[in-house]
Amino acid sequence: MHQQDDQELVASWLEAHGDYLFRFALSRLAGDTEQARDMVQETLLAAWKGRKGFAGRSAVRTWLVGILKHKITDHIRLQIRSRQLHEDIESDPTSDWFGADGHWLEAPKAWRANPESLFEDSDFRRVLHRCLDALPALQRDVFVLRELGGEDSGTICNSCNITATHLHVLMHRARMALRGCLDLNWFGRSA
Amino acid sequence: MYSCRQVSYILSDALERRLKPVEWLNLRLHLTICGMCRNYAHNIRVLEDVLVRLRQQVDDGTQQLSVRDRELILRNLEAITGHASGEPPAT
Repeated sequence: MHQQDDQELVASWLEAHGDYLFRFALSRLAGDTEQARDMVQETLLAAWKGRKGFAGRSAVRTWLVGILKHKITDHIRLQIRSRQLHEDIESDPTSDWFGADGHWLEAPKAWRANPESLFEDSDFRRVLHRCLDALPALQRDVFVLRELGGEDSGTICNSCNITATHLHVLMHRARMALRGCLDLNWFGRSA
Repeated sequence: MYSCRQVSYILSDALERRLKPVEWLNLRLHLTICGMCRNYAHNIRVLEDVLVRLRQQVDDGTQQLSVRDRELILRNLEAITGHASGEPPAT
């Protein structure tokens, strides 16, 4: 009969917080819906296993989000470990943009767009996610954790095993690559 | 004096850490005379602004777990929580 209660507990969490957790995971996994769903499942499972330790000091949602955050960081850390770390040497998009003298090879044009309307444009968001997906893996993971996950740099450096300087270089490269990608696939249209 | 390439890096760093006064000064100096870097700075600001909105979207977002995903999660969890409780799975 306890079992019945337990199962209802998990079902009630899924009912009340499933969508929120899913959105939270999606925003930190660059829109990978399948992975986000798995993260929600793992979170609920871990919560169920640790249910006795939850003393109700915080709201259930806060507690679940805390678990989910750990799950996502672990997931990304594993991904990074399973990859070769030499990709950062191969992929420096910044050298494509400048001549040997450090001048722009092609002058950037200012985007004429309002961030609010861009954000509300689902076509733009799709292009943005495609551009994020196209980043080299480490750049993408670090950038998404930081920008969409709002994770602090200390946490990212620890989980990805990189230095603060390396993190800054990766963020810079990601920004430059994203700007180029959006320029080509979105803003270029109106130019 | 910074090159455009250095400026692009500093502009990104400005979003990551507190710049040193001398870095700020050199950055401002370069931006006053370089329209291309001003454009780049503008675009990076727009990008950052959109990303911040995306980050905050969690609270008022519209994406939901599909009914199929929900059922899948529930089934998987029931299988595990049922076993782990030490009682035979319900029939």
